[in-house]
Order: sequence, then structure tokens, then C-alpha cells
Amino acid sequence: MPRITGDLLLGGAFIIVGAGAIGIISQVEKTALASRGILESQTLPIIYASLLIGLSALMIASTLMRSFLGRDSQGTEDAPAQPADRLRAGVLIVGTVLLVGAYTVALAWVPFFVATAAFLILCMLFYGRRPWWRVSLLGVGGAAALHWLFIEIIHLPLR
Amino acid sequence: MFSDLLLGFAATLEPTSIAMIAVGTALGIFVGALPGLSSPMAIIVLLPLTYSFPTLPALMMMMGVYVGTKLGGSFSAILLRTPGTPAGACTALDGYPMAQRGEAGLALGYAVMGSTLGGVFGWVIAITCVPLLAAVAMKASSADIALIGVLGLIMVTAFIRASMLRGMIGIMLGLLLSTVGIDPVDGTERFTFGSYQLQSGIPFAAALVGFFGFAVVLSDTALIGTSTQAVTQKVRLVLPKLRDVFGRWRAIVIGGAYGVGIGAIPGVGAEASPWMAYGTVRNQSRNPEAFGTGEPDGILAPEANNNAACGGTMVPMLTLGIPGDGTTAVMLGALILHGVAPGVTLMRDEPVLVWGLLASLLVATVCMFLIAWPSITLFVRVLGKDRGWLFPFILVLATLGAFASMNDFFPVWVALGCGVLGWLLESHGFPTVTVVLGIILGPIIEQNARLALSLSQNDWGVFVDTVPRMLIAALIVGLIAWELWRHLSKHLAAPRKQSVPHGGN
Repeated sequence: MPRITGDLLLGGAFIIVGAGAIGIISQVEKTALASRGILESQTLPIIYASLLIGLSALMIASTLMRSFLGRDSQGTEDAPAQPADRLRAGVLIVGTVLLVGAYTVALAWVPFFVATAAFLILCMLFYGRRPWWRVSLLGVGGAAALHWLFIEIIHLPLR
Repeated sequence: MFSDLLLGFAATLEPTSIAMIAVGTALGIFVGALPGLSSPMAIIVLLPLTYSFPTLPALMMMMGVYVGTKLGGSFSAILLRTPGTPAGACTALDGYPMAQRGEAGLALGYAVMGSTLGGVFGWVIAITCVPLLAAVAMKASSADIALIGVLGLIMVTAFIRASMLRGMIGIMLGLLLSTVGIDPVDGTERFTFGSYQLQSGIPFAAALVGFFGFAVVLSDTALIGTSTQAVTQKVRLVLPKLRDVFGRWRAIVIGGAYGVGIGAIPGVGAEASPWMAYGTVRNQSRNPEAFGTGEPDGILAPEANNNAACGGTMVPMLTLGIPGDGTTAVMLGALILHGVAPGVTLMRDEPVLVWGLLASLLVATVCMFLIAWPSITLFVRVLGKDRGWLFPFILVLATLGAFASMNDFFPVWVALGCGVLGWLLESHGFPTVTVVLGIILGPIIEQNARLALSLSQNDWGVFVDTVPRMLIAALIVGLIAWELWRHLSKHLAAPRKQSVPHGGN
């Protein structure tokens, strides 16, 4: 994603977060113990959220100014050069998040050793590691070692 | 002081403690040598293990990682010209040319000697400064503590590599996240959305795992499939003669002084100071043109700097509760997870912990020297391995680290969310360490500011009614003004520079 677009999107998102935070905290009911000081429980969150909105607006303005003046020399510097690279990076990131999500769900239902071995093998295969026998060996061996350490020794409350 | 230090050494020199420091140091060298992996991430990987340890041994292991990564970063810098850590980038300037001309072992030897002597230099400064500053800090009132917290945040944003604006946005996000949960002063629920799991706030361990574990893996997935080739596969560490090393004392002292001095400034960390030390040593050299072609001074100065910075960062962390860089932020988080409150009272409440930690800094430096020697061949072999083999294990350990913090799956989801947020922020130039510092310092600032105001009958003047407070407030305003001036002058100067050629033509 080009730097300017990313900055504008993130800046917009921060403004929404800040505005949402102010909206939510303003409606919070105070307890009977609520402090009568100048700083109430809502004051600092409102200050932080307002500053977040102000700074994000400043970032958006500065980004737009830079783009109008044509001074975004570093514009796409960090982005992968080729669309194929961008696609590969995106697939790896989304895939990693999905695999960790699936592993977390699996840990609640499947025995630790099985879930971990499956995760390690799938993850290594997803990252393009081969041959399959080395992947399987590392996955099962690694899961056994982790099972011994975390379930047998540290007694984590997992199946 | 000496009796306290001896007490610290007594805790550190137990066989279990030494073993933990050695394991941590070896892991640190290994992680530091792998480009893309960092010491905060190595500590995150260790988190689930350390929950079952007492506080001091757990932190000693982390200290070993911290010290080890500094040297590990130079291995890949010298052999691959790809620094494992940002601080190692400077070492590559002279280390790689030395390796290219067949002196890789000697270049690594200079790196090991520079790191060890710099580490000892930083340790001496740390044990001298920590008790002095702690004695002053102990007298701090709630208004002072709140101001010091704000100063720490401003310093981080002012000196960090990214722009201050992005740093400030990160800080505000962190501060806002720190207000989630039941308000500790009057019990009001804030941003809990009816969830009992959020009543005690954003799970701290989960945030650390997310920002320093998952986010790093997500950012580095681009490295998967890329292999690097060392300049040579057969390396044997050749330690330079002591006479030769001490003949170059100027490079070590300059490097160490920059490391301690700048390392002690929160947020500057180890990124800027090696370059400053390198530049100073080169300018003072009788043979400046040799720099960049394999000059040993060009390895000794940045390496001494890197490890001396470990001592420097300990000073604000142990006396004020302000972390100097990402690693000390995670260590501070680990203190909180182990039920220890960091801050100005740490030295008074936990003297054995503080002195034990300082003693472990020296022991870790010695371990680093001893481990680096025999293990260099192993590390060279590891350097060529693809991250695709390693990342799945890091992901499992990060998941377990988040789970083990509450023995619940909720922190794992929070960590994954923080990981995605951290990756998004880092990929757009927002330093994630600022978010973590906001989360750490937010509650300290809020509670102390509210206490100070209620004690002073809501008089804001309480924050400037003594000379030290006025100085701190002036420093905060000055840093913001300086950064604004720097930003404006840069932007105003650019069009003028652009207009010169037009005018000239």
C-alpha cells in the first residue's frame, strides 16, 4: 500500500477510535465512590482521545500537504516493488493470522500434542518448507518437546 | 553500597542463577545473530517459561538474552553484512571488509572483546549511578512521579527514529489502552463493554506478546524463503592480543561513554549511539581513511557502545521505572507480571532484586565472552537457515506465553489483535514501543497525577511548585518545542532548497 494512502487510512481510523472513545466514556455511569477531584475517571481518557484525534488530523493534513507539494519521495519505498511480491506478503500475513487463530481454537478442544504437531507441520508447509518427512519429523518432535516442557513440567492447564 | 552489591552477587552466583543467565545469553546470541529477530521477541518467547520461576532468576535469564543479542547482532553483520540488530549495522562497516580479506575470526574476536569491555564499562557506570539516582528519586512525591512519567514518554517520542508526530500518536493509543478496565481510584468501569475479562484492563502480557512477538513474525514473513550466504563457513574465533586491544582504549572508552550516556536516555536506545561513537572515533583517528576498509577501531567502538548501553538503560529502568528501549520495556512488563511494582520505590522495596539484576549484568557479560568462543561455528551454521523453520515454533511459544499469563484463551486473542495492530503500525512507520510505553506508564501517570491534584485541592500549580518540578516541566515543554522547530525548519527549508536551481537558472 503506498505510504500516503496508508497514512490517510490509519489517520482516519485513529480519528474514529478517538471519537468513539469519547462517545463511550461520556456515557459511563459514575459509581457512588466517584472522585470529586478535578481529574475524574473520564477526564484523562477524554484528553488522550482528543489528543489522538488532533494528532491524527495533523498527520492527515501533513500527508496531504506533502502529496500536493509532490514531496513524497519515500512514497512507495517500503512497499514491495512487484505486485506478485505484495500478493505473496499479503498471503503469508493473512495465512499466519488464520493459522494462529485456528491453533488457538484447536487448543481448547484438541489435546495439546495433536494441536501443536498439526500447527507446526501446517505452518512449515505453508511457509514452503520441504521435504515433507523432515517437516513431519520436526513437527512431531517439536510438539513432543513442547508437550513435555509445558504440560509435564510447567503444568499448563491444557489438555 | 558494596554490601548491597555483594548481596546481589550472592543471589546471582547460585548455580541455578548462573545456568539461567548462561541459557539466556546463548539464546540471546542466537536470536541476535538472526536478522529480523530482536531481543524483546526472545524475551517474549521465554515468558511462558519464566512464569514458573521466582522473579529474580526469571529476570536474570532476560538479562542474559539482552546482553547476548547485542553481540549476536555483530556475528551476522560481520559474516553476512546483514546486521541481526539495528545496533549491529555500524559494525558491518569495518567487520565485513575484514571478513572478506580472510580475517573473519579476528573481526569476530574484536567484536567479542569490544562487547565484553564495553559491557564491563556500562556495568561500572550502572552500579555507580543507580544508587545515587535512586536516593534522589526515592524522595519524589506523586506530582514528581507523574511528571517523570510524562517526561519519559516525551523523551521517547523526541528521540526515537520515527517522527515525533507518529511517536505521539503511538503514545496516545497506548495511554488510551491503559485506561481500559476498572478505574483504580473510584471503581468506574471504562471501555469494558460488559466483559468481565476486560475489568482488570488489557492483559499486559498479551499486549507484550502481540506487539513484540506476533507483530515481529508478521513483519518478517517477507524474509521467508530468502537465504543468506556467509562470507565463509569455516570460522574460528581469533582473540586479538590484549596489548593490541588496550592500545585501542580510546575507541572502547568513546564507544562505552556514548553507549552509557545515550543508552540512559529513554527511547534513544541503541540505534543512534553506535553511529555517533563510530563518527567520533573516526574523526579523532590519525588514520580516518582506513575506516570502512576493515579498521579494528571501527569494530571496537560500536561493539563497546552496544553492550555499554545495557548498563545505561538499567539506570532509568531501575530508578525511575522508565524503560530505555524495547527490551527494557518488556523486562519492566515482566516485573509487573511477577507482582513487582517498578518505579522510584523499587530500590527501597526490592533491594535484592535491583542489586541481583545489576550483578547479573556483569555475569551475563562474562557468560557472553565464554559462550561466544566455542559456539561461533554453530552460529555460523544457524545463520544460513531459513526463517520458515523457526517462525512456527516462535508462534507456538508466543501463543503459550499469552495463554499462560491468565491460563485462559482470552489473552491469546488480545495478543493476536495487538500483533496485527503492531504490524500495521510498524509497516507505516509508527514505533510500536511507544504504544507499549503508553500502556506501561499510563496507570502510573494517571494515579499519581490524580493523587497529587487531590492532595493540593485541585491546584494545577502543584506540578511546578518546586525547582525540580519546574525543571522537568521546562524540559517537557522544551523537548516538544525543539521537535516542532526541527520539523518546521525541515519543511520550510525544503522548498527554499528546491527553489534555488530555478532562481539560478
